Amino acid sequence: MLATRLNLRLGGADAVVELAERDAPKTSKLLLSLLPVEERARHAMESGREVYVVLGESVDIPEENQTIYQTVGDVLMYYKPSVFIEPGWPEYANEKPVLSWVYERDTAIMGTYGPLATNVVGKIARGLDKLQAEAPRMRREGFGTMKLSRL
Amino acid sequence: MGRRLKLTFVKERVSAFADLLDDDASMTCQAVWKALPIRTKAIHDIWSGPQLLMHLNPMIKLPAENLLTYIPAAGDVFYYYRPRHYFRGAPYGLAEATEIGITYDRDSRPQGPRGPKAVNLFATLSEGKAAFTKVCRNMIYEGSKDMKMERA
Repeated sequence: MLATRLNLRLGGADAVVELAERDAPKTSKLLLSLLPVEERARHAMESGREVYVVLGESVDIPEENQTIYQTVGDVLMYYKPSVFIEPGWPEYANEKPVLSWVYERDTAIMGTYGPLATNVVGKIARGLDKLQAEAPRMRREGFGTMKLSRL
Repeated sequence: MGRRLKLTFVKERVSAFADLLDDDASMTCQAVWKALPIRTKAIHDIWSGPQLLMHLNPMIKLPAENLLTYIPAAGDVFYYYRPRHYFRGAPYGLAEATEIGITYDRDSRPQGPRGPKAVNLFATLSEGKAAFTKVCRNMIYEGSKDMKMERA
């Protein structure tokens, strides 16, 4: 079975994502139902080289194909602690569903107590080198929009 | 009143003042004091939570003093040395660096991909924290900012 392919755009960089439909069927279906996702991109402040967007409050991510050992090119869905999204948010805002990807090694998605289990929903199959240039540039110059859509 | 450091986001014209902890970290305080004024880029940390970092002159390599190992408080200002090969690549622009970190909120912990990092705590923000923190919070989205550090 050929994997469903998606286009991931960050600023001026385009990449191709292949969905992990065999290992994460429920999460893949959920992600497909949300497309296109177009939101303000954010850089992780606690996990290393990770870029993410916050999804809507109503998104319910099932536990599936999880890992605490994320690696370069992984596309992830999980709940990120609010303190690492907007420090200063009220304490009742505990966590938000996010869609993220890892653009370099030495990244470990962290919660406030340690590593977080994350659903691996896809892999960046092409264009990672472009994202590896664009994400650090945005870290220096300010973040723009990320868009994930069907190819 | 003891010695104070003035930290200014240049374009935003927002300043905060930090009290130097001369009694607890005399060597670090003196080394930083001698290096002032410093004009540099502040960038948001990507491993430590709500924290900024600024590069110092790499010649300022200091031994451990008044070590803080894990939970800083909002407003803590600290020094640390990051050796070559600490990171894969140079996520902050330099492979080897001496840096000043500033924690601006709870749930921070100075660390890299290998885990917690011990740092020399040498100052704490005492005035102007609210406006300063507001600028810090925006940096993860807005990117790096010009910072001036000088004697107050």
